[in-house]
Amino acid sequence: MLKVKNLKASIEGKEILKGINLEVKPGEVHAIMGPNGSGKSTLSAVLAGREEYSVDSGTVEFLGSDIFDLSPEERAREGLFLAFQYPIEIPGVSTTNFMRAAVNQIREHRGLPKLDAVQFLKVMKERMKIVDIDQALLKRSLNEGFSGGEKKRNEIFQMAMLEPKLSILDETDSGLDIDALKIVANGVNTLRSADNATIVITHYQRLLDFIVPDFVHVLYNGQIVKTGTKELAYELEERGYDWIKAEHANV
Amino acid sequence: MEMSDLLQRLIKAPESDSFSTAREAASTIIKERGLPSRKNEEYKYTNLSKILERNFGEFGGNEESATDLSALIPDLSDNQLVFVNGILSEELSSYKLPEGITISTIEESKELVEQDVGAKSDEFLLLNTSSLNTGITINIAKSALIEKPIVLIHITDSSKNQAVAHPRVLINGAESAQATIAELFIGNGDALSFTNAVTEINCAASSNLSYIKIGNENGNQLHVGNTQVNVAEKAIFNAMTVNFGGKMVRNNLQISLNGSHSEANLDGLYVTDNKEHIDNHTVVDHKVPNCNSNELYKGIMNGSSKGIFNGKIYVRQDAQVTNAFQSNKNILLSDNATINTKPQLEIWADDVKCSHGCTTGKLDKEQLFYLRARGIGEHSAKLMLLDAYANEVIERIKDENLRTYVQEILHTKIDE
Ligand SMILES: Nc1ncnc2c1ncn2[C@@H]1O[C@H](COP(=O)(O)OP(=O)(O)OP(=O)(O)O)[C@@H](O)[C@H]1O
Ligand SMILES: [Mg+2]
Repeated sequence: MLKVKNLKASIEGKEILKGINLEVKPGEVHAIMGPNGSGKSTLSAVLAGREEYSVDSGTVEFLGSDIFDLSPEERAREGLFLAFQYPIEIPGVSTTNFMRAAVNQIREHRGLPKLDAVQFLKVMKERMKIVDIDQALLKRSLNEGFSGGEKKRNEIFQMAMLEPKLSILDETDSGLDIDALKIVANGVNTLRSADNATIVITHYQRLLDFIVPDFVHVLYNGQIVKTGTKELAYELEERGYDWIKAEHANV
Repeated sequence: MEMSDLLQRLIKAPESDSFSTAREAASTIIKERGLPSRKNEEYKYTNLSKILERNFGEFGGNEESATDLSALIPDLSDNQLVFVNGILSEELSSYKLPEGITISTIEESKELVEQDVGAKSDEFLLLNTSSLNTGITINIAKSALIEKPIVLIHITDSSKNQAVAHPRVLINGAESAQATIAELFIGNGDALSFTNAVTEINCAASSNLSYIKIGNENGNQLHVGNTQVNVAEKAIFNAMTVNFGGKMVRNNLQISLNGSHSEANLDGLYVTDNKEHIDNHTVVDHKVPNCNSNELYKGIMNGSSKGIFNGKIYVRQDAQVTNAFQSNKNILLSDNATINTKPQLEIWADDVKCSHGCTTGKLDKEQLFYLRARGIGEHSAKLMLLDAYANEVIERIKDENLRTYVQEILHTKIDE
């Protein structure tokens, strides 16, 4: 589904990703952990198509085609979804209207008829249940004045609406209380299938109790320096990153 | 060409005698002063007299229309008065005036017209008065509650020849009256035209009037509008000024809060493209205590268009306990578009809450990316953001027909 080979990317002349290799297959869940500033959000932004980053070398294949040939909207329509670490506030655009535009443009891309207002509302109500989000919230301006937790929940709601093939969840767990964490994790698990895959970026092993990963990667200083199974997350929780930093002091 | 020749051409020969006093007084002053040049601080960025001089040398007067104007007229209300080149057209107008509204010629209010002529009056207002031979007065009766808006449609028709129009409207809202009045300015024809409108609005005590000015003029139209408003005690006045184009447009909106506990809300939106030039000058004059004013003007500018916003707030010495807020925001869609914004606050009282702010920027990249990352195409994402941005102003139009009409023009304009 996703093949990242030796990806290097920089911003304003500063190299952030220094050769990333990662392969994600359908049905898998990958966790990416790593110290602050190691490049986790940069990786997700580059995959989602943020134009501010320059891709200096390497390749990324998404569902068999070169991802860099696609605009951000084309990637989304093909089935890539990024839950933002810091969801953006958009005054004057309600989540409902925003989602209707998104769903219909994605459906158009996939050769499906547009949903009318009634059909859309029906789908929306269904998906709202998955993340237990309130309709009143969805009528308000997108993320404007939402609490941290509400913003994160809204990201997962959007994921439920768009039915992506590959979801990248960038610290969706931070800022969530323990109940919300379970709801969000449960939402992610409900949407999981053999055809789609998930990359979970997190600082806390706790989330991985709920969303159980097949692989855990450590991203440090722009490279994936270690890959293991879910036990690696426990180890990191216990020991922190110093030992990893020490191993890679010369990187 | 001599200035006096130009003025002679712009001033139309009078047909009626009711205004001879005002007309002569205004002519004398304007001939002495001339039209404002770039040296005039108030018109520094909007040098209309140069264009007028260059283009109206051969001006031969208005002729009858070559085309059927009825096709231009949108259906916005039960009460639509249509003016062609400043003159009310009975044929194109349609109205069943509700109880509480009377319409008469402005001749009955000639004293008010005379009062406007002074050494300090705006030059274009004087020019309008110099040409005055007709106009209308709309009276809204005491305590009348008028649900549907009264819509005045001004068509400046230059289909046969260059055209000059000097529309003149007087609106009197009596005590506790409530009404919405809209003025729509459009054009017809490819020759250059000049619309020089004057609208005066008197809001009596406890009245609540909304005034909406919609400018949707074409690239051959020059426009100056002087809107002068007097607000008495406990009255609320809402002004909305939206502009979607014109070769060179200047709106002077002047509001005097003359009675205590009165309130003025000024909203504005200008959407410009190509070489359009839109200049909004507003004045809110707090003369008495306990009044509020709120002002929000927003611009979306594309091409190599030019915008000017100049907002003056005066808080006179007597005007204690004043709240006055002003904000001007702009989105520049092109590197060649420019905005010149200037707040001017002059405060003589001391118990005053007053603030102003202005922002100018491009479309927010983060917002655009967020929408695109959900599968929304770049173009529709831009439209969505601009629509939301403009709607903060437009949604304040309470009448649904008018609001939808403005939204539709907005959509065509930003979808180019
Ligand atoms: N515009 C920029 N200019 C310069 N440096 C930048 C810019 N944007 C990001 N960076 C740097 O890139 C590095 C990686 O940032 P990134 O957001 O990818 O880290 P992260 O791994 O997601 O961290 P966190 O765990 O705190 O979310 C940081 O050092 C950051 O300061
Ligand atoms: Mg991050």
